[in-house]
Amino acid sequence: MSAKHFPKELWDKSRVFMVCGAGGVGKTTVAASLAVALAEKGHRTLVLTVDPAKRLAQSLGLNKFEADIQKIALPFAPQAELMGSMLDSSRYFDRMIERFAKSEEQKQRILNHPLYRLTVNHLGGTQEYAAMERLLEFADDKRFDKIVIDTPPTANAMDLFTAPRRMAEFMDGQVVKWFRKDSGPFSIFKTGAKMAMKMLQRVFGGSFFDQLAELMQAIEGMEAGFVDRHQRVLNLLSHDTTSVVLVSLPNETRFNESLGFLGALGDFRIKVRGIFLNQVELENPPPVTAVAGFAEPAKQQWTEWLTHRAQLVAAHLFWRQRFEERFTPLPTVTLPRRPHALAGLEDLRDLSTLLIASDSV
Amino acid sequence: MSYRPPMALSSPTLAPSYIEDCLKRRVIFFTGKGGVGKSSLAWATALACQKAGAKVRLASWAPFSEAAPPDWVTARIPWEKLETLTCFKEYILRHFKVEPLYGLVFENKIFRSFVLAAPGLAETVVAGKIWDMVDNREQDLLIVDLPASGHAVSFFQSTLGVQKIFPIGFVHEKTTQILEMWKSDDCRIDLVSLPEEMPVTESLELKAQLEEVIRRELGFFVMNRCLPEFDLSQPSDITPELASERERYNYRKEEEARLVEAARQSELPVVVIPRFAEPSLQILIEQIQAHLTKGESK
Repeated sequence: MSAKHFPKELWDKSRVFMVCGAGGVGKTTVAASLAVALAEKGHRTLVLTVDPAKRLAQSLGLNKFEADIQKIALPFAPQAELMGSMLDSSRYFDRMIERFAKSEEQKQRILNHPLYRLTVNHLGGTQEYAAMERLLEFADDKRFDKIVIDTPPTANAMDLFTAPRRMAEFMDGQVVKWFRKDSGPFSIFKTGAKMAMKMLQRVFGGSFFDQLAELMQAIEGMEAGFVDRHQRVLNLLSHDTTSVVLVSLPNETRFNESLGFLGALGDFRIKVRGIFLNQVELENPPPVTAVAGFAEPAKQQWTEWLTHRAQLVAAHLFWRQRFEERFTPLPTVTLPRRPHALAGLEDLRDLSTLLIASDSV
Repeated sequence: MSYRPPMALSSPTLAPSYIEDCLKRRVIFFTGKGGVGKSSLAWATALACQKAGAKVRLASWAPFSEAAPPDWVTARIPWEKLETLTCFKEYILRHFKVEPLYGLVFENKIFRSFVLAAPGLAETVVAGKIWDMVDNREQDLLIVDLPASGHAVSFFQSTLGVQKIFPIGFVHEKTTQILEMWKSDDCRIDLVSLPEEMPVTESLELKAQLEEVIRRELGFFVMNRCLPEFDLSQPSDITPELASERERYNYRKEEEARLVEAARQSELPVVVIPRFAEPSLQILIEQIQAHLTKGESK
C-alpha cells in the first residue's frame, strides 16, 4: 500500500519506535528525523542512537560523550523537548556483570578472568545486546512520552532480535551447570563423560577447558538475570505501544531482505507497522528531446546522462511498486533521495515533514 | 588486549589489473560496511575469474543470517555456506576420527548452544574450514563473502585470540597455520565501499583495524556504484531544467572525486565500479562482471 505518511493512529498510540533495517539504508537519518518530528509536535522525545555518522551526530549536538542524556536544541522549535543519547557499547558486558553479580567477589572473578576479557574484546554483536539493554532502561522512564531507537548497523536486521536470545541460551542454567563440578549427571566432570571430556581436551587443549569451566562456574547464579531480561525485551517489542518500522531501499537485494525480515519477526510475535523506502530517485530528468538541438559531442554526453538518470528513476519505480504490492496492507512511505548530503537539523526537519502527517497530535 | 607480533607489515605485490591479480591468489575475502554491494561484487568477481579460466569456488559466512547467492550464480559456481555447527562437525571428524563420540558430545543441545555463543569459537572454526578448503586445492581460487565491518574484524581477531589462549597443541598449530595463510601472498582481503561519506570513513577505519590484526596491507579498495563519466560542460546556453541536471551531476561528481581521493590516501589500489541503472540483480551482476573483465582498474 502506498502511503504519503504513516497513519496518524500509529504515531499517536505508539510510545516506542524502533527503526530497523540492514546496514547502509539510512536508519539513523530516519530515526533522527522521526524524533525531530515528534518533538516538534510537543512530545517529550528521546532518541537513542548507535555510532551515528559524524555529521549527523554533530547536527544533533551529540558530538560530546560526557553526559548520558543530552538536550538537543531545535532552533525552529524552541519549546520542543528533544533529548538524545549515544550508545556506548564498549563497556556493556562489564555493566551487565556488575548488575547481575551476586557479590563483589563474583564480580571481580569474572571481570578479571582472562577468557572473559578476551570475550568482551572480541565478541561481535555487543552493540545488539547493548541497544536492547538500553531500550529496557528507558522503557519505563516517565520523563519521556516517546522513545525512538536507532538500531545498530547489523549485517542482517534480524541479528538484533536473535542476539538477546543467543545470549539467553548461552547463559541458560543448563550450560552453566554442565561445567559445575558437583552438578550431578549432566556434569562434564562425571565419569560417564570422561571419554567425551578427553576428546574435548584434545580439541581445545586442557588449559583452555579449565579456564572455561572456571569462568562458567564464576557466572553461576547470574543466568536468571540474562534470561529474564531477554523475556522483557521480547515483551516490550511485541507490546501494542511499540512500533517497529523497517527502513529499506528500492532494489532487489533489499526487497528480498525485507521479505525475510518480516517473515522472521513473526516468530518473535513482533509486528512491523510500516516501511520507509529510502533514497528513492523520484524526480524524472528532462526528456532526451530537450538536448536534440545540441552539437556533438555535447549532445551524446547529455543524451547518455539523461538516459542513465531516467533508467535509474524507472528502476526505483519498479521496486517501489513491488514493495507497495507485496507488503500491503502495510503502509510503504517513499522518501526521496536528496540531491545533497544531509547537512544539519534543518535537513532533518525537511525529511521529518514527510514522515508524519500534519494532523497527527 | 592488543596483540603485537614482532614482525613488520608485509607488502604483497599487487598487479595493476584487478582480475589479473585475483588469478594469482588462492583465497580472496570481501568485506566493508553493510549495504555497499560486497556480495554482488564477490559474485561478479567469481564470474569474471571463471571466465578468465580459473576454477573458482564461492563461500559465504554470515553468522545468524542468510547470504545465499542467487540460483543462477550457484548453477555456474559451486557455493558453500559456512555454517558454524557443520564446519565444527566436519573439522572434528576429519582431524579426530571419533564418529561414535561425536553424537555423545557435539549433538548435545547444551554443547550446541555453547559452540554458537562461545566467543571466537565460531569464527575460528569457520577460519579453519576456509584454510582446509584452500589447502585441498579443489579450486584455484576461493572467494569468501564476509559479513560487514564489525563482524569481519572479529572474524580475523578471533583466530588470533584463540591462538593466544592455546599456547600449545592442536588448536595452536591450526590457528598458526591460518594466520600464516592470511599473511601470505596467496591471500587477499578487499574493502568494498561506496563513494559516500559514511562508507568511506568506515572503510578507512576498518582498514586500520584489520591491518593491526593481520599485520599486512589489504588488497584493493573497491569503490562501487560510482557515477559514470560524462562531460556536461557544453553548451553554455541551456534551459533551467538542464542547468539543474548539470548542477546535480557536478555536485555528485565532485563529492565522489573527493571520496575517491580519500580512498587513494589509504595507499591501497582503488578499483572504480560504475553505477548501473538496472532493476534486475542478475543483469547488474553481469554488468559488473563485464566491467571487471574489461580490466578497467585504476
